[in-house]
Amino acid sequence: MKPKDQILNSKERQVLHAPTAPEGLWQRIEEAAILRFQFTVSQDESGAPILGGVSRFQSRLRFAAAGMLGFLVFFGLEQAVTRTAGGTVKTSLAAGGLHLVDHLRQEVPLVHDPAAYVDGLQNSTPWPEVTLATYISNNEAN
Amino acid sequence: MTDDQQATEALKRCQLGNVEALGVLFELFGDKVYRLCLNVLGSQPDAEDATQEVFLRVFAKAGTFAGRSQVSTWIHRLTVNLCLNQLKSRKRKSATSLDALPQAAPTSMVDGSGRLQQQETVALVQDVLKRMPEEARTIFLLREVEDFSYREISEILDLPQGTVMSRLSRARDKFRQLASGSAIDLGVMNE
Repeated sequence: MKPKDQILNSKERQVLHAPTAPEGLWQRIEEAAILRFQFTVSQDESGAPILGGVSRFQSRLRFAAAGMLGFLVFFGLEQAVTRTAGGTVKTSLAAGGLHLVDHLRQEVPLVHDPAAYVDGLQNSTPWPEVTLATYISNNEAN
Repeated sequence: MTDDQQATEALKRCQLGNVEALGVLFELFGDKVYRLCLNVLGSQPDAEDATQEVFLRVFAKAGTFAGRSQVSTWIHRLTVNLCLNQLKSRKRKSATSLDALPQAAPTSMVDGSGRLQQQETVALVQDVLKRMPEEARTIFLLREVEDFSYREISEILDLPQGTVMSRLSRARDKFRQLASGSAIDLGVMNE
């Protein structure tokens, strides 16, 4: 007997309800489950090799090293390009870096536009009057 | 011990890597899962692969079962999600084929003059289901064939009950509409 709201009659439902899992399917699933379980256990053991004989820790270490190396190569290339381009520093990252280094090494003025600051250096423009010390002392005074 | 208690026990043992416990779950739900896969995917090899994958996922994810629903509902949710994902990926490759829908009829129905009528019914139901949209087909099968309640369907599909009812209503309308255009009248049209 079907619930009131169902629209298929018993014959149609029986047709759709007829198929059962074929024989041998469970054996397939059982084998696959055992294999997968063994694989998971071997992966979970500490130091156990995964693909290519590399442990999880080693692979993470390699990933971190590759990332760091990539950054250094990128930064170095950018520096090389900007410094060889007729001595003119053009990119904002290089200009910003130079400004930061100069700022740390000696008391140089704070500027809002690093590229303009570098241009200023190259044109032998005298330092602006406001230095870090005066800036700080002005702020403290305020 | 009820089926659900038995299933919950088996699921706990699955967490410890007990494959025999997975066998218990297969005995309880194997046919239902296979049938749903077959009716949704429409191909016997695909249904077998999907059933295998469902039970492997049950085995792997046994520890994630929160116990908020019945084990049966949880397994059917995995089944429906897997089948719908397979249909989506298959859609990109080719049109859905439901050539292998219901493979075997019950012995009691296949005898004498009833055989031809049986075959006609199978063909017609297959054809109508094939032309239904996938999600409508799934919700229709869950209610009409697998006898799940609205609450269970809402848990399986992760939808509010109201949405289930409205979608089911639209699925039935679609089924009726497609069935009425068929050469043979379904029993449903006579009721």
